[in-house]
Amino acid sequence: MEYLGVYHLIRNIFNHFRGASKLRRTLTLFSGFILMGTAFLQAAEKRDQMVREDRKTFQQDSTWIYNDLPKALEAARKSQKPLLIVFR
Amino acid sequence: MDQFVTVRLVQGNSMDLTLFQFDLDLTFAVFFMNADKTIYGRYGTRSDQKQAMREISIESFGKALRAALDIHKDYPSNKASLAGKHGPKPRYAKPEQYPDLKKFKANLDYQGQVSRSCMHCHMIQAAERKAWRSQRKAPPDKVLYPWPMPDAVGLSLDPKEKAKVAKVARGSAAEKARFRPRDEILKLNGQPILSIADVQWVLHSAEAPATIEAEVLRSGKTGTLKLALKEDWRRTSSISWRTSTWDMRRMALGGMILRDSTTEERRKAGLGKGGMALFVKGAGRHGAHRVARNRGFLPNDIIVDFGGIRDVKNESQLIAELMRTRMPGEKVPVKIVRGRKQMKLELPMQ
Repeated sequence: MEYLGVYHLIRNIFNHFRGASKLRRTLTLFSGFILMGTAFLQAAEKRDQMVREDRKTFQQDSTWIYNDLPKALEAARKSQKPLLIVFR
Repeated sequence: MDQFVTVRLVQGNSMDLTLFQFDLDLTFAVFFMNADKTIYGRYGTRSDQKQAMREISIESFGKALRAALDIHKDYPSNKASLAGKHGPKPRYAKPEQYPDLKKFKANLDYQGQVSRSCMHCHMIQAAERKAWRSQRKAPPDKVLYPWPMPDAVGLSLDPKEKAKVAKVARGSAAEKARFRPRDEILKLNGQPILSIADVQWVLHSAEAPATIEAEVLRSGKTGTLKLALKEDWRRTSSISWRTSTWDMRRMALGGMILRDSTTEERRKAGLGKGGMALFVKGAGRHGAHRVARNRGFLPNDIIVDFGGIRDVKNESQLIAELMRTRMPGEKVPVKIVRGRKQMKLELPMQ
């Protein structure tokens, strides 16, 4: 949603400069794409960071096995406990 | 919780589809299982895009946990009753085998763009439909309407209980089977029921037509009811909330999002109370989701006839009907009302 907002902002700026020179329009459009691309990359990086932090948190928690089904099956066999498998 | 080995799986990549068959549009799904991979039950239900918690609660989750422990205590003497909790052989054993998902690797790229390397579960559901579409075959109702909510047969279940009837819809299959409010569903087709998700599993697996045998607890006594399902019983389910429906909107609606018209919108458009009147809530702007917009459709249009279809009740039914009857490349004439003006447009199927 962040980059959609940026897109609309840029489109408005572009519309504002509709009557301006070709160079000015090109520059505005170019900077718009740079801005959009940056916002998109920032959002993706933020998501990646959240996933890594989430993994770190779960890996430090001894009560949960993170993303390793064979390990969980082995632990269940040894402990004779049932498995609680969460997809999230 | 400490009586379980708890594991969290975060990716669709490399998932064993033979074992893990669940509602792929969920953002939270649980399996209770033995170490030998016998499934005790499932948990996790959703029927709304925004309200993810409407059908689940900590109370019902707690009750499902306790029921799973009870099953585990009696295992393996109860193994035969659990056989039905395993699904049939899927089209592919691993999601990466779907042509549409080949770009994904078995493991997530934690050092690089980890989010992009992660296959979301709903992508698997969408890939299954696309596989039918690319073969120019009509997907069966099971694929179009996966994991029906119990209300498809007229049952509203209490979200705070395992599977307790809150309401029975008038004239429904459940009413005909003599279900009553406060009935506790103990078993369906012999399978012990731990949750609403377990009820959905039995419904999802059912044929059409079919008869499902229900063991219920009513006023301290157990009894058996027979739930008779007609051939088209799944078609009252809503699929509009599902993330995996997004790709069907592209295929069937050229990227439009539809909703039912209000009485006021019908009146303003000069339409009567009856007949189809689906309001264009939005139309895609990018790529293949822009096809409807490119063909002249606009938000606020009202669709009254879609290639001769004039009697469906909602977007879900229209999408499913088009997926069944119209193949990619076909150009479908569509009648709309814009303002009060009737117009004819054409939409190519994808």
